[in-house]
Amino acid sequence: MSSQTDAPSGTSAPTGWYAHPVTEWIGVAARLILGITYLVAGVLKAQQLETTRMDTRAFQILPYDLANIWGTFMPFLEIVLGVLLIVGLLTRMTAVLGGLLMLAFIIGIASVWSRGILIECGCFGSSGKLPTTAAYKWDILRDVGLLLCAVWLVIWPRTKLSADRALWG
Amino acid sequence: MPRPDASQKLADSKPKDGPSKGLIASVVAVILVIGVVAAVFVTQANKSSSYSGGVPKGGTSDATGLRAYPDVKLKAGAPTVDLYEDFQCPVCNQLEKSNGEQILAKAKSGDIKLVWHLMTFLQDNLQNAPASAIAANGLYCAADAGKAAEYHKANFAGQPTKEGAGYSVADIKKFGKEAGITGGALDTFNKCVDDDKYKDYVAKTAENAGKDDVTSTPTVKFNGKAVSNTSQEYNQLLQQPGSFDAILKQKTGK
Repeated sequence: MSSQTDAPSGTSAPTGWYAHPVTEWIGVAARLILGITYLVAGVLKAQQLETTRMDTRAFQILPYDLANIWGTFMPFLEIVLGVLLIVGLLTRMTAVLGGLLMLAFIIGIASVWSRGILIECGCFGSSGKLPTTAAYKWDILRDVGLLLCAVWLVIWPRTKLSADRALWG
Repeated sequence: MPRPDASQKLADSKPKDGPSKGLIASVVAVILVIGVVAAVFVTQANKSSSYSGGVPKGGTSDATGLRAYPDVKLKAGAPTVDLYEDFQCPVCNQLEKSNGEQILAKAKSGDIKLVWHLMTFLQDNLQNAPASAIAANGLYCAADAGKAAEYHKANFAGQPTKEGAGYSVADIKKFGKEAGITGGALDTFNKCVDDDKYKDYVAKTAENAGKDDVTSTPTVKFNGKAVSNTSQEYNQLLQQPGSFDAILKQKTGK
């Protein structure tokens, strides 16, 4: 990173419309939306690892053992990413990882949707209403929104109220 | 003419130091460690592939389920029907209400080989362990008393209306009584429930159900082939009372 010797002096801070403070506040919102989502989802999944492993197997993408390993690992990865995003530490790196993970989720959901697989134990839609694959489009829409948060942060990782800002300006 | 010394200018325009390599490395290391721990945990848990614990009557030595009416002689070419259930699953109860009687009747007459595979993931999902496991253990205890089918019925009939309320040991004993277990057999049953005698069998059958690629309950298999939970037949089995016979015929020709 020390090779940018040709930058004109006095312009080490970014310029242009995206240097506007609003951009950095949007970054805060992106961090919090993505970070809180990852933290909550991670905690919920970590509390029910057996179910998380089973749901991961239900995607029928990874072989049995790998699906179990991924199902055990992923909730804790989500928690780590969530905490880092909320406090704003290593924002760009966490946003890259969080975005890749979101991309994996989108691909996974699109894959089960196209194969007509229903990921739902069928246990929570009582009152005779059975879950259908119709919910997948909302899942994908939600994840695309979250992916956009991650993309924003990869491009503009400088945000207000972040540990990055406090530590390195 | 020598170039002017630019070192000061360069230092000024140099971007401020970002996160140290050490910090980045430690975060990456933490993530990797979690991954390795998860991998080791899962592979270790999976290592115990053979089963050597106790087997209830109607069970198999490798813990792959429990046959209903194990003493009934099967008719020639009787298809196998596998039912994967969790006693806490309300949709399983729907299947039970719609077609439970018919399924049991076919098993009792030897027209089908009915095998229950009790799963326990809902106690994890509902955070009320060991509710699913003690119910499954109850079924196995009842099997020893020759009352598995009756217990199966009683347990679903006694499923709490509010999902997540779970089962207590007292509930399980009550189901045993309702299943018609009496006298000395009831004492044995109650002790079996208190001791959680088939704990290992419960755990292993649940694990084996996962290895059978079952990821939701109820799952119904005809001769090893699962009825897709998005299919018309699946919905009929759950919601249309008495639809089992026709679907059995359609799936197996019997």
